[in-house]
Amino acid sequence: MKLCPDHKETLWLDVYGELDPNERPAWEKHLETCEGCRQERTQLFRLLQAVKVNMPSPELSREKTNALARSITRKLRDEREETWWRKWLWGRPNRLVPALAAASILIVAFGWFSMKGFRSSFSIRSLSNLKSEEQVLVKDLDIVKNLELLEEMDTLRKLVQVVDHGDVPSHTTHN
Amino acid sequence: MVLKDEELVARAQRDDQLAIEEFVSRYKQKAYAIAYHMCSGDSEEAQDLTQEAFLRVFRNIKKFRGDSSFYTWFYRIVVNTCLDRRRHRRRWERIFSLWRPGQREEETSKEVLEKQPDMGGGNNPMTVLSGKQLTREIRKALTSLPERQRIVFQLKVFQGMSIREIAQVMGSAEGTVKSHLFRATHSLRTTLKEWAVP
Repeated sequence: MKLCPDHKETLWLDVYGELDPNERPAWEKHLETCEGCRQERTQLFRLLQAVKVNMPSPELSREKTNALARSITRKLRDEREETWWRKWLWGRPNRLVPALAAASILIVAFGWFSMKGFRSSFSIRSLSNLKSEEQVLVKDLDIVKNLELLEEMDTLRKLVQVVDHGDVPSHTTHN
Repeated sequence: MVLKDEELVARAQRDDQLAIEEFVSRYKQKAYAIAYHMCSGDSEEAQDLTQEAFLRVFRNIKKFRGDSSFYTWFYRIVVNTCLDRRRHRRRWERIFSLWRPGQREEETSKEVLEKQPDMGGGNNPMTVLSGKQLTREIRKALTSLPERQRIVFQLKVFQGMSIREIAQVMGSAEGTVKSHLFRATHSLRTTLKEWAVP
């Protein structure tokens, strides 16, 4: 026999002792005729009883109770007698510990990144380490430097010619 | 003469030591029972939680304005204390499970079963065995429930609170509590069906 789906909620409310007194007569009438609901109700009662019996609420012994009461009152008294600066440092919510932890993390992180930046600024940067744009710029700079050198070389060559031949070429005098 | 909760609250708000002691003696068993069920039967932890809950109550008693009954306010603090501890522990367990997976779970279930009080099954080994097995099954079924469903079920079945009281303690609507209770009942009914049949 199966439980009537329409009466499921009523059945559970009844088992938990929460059924509205106005609904009870109709529910009891239904139970008289419905074997499935009656059976389910009995089984659910049995199950809840088994849960209660096998999971008993423990009792605190007299000694433990006294110890608990003493400990609570002592802690409350200690908290009341704490000085304002101790309360501020160690009171609830604990301010100092998280603040110190956060500060330590910040110091370590800051130190780490600044060391990294320090190292990178002094490290020798090879051409392969540079980005493509930077590589182009470095190459351009090399060309410019080489051009200057070539011009100087050209001037030297002309000087040698002047010394060797004793005459100045006509086009250089115009420059 | 037995003082009412309201009078005790008024005295405790004026730091009356006797009122505080009276509160502890009046509510210790209930608080301990809630903590015991919520921390899966660890009596040491339950005592610790009970103390923590009382401390929270007395630290905040001046903020209690009497909008709800004192015991609802008190139970709410107990439940929240237990939930906070569970969350805190779960967070650490998640971190440490990376080092030793599965070990703690086995230890806990073994410890809990060994610590279970005698159910009064007498000397009959079969009764004791089936009692222990049922206890294990119930605990497993309860642990597998979602947190809110489990709390509602525990407050209803073990503490005998009404749905209205549970709703006040949990700060939820009565309909929500009812829904949690029915879902928990359905799950337990399915998991423990063989124990419901005579």
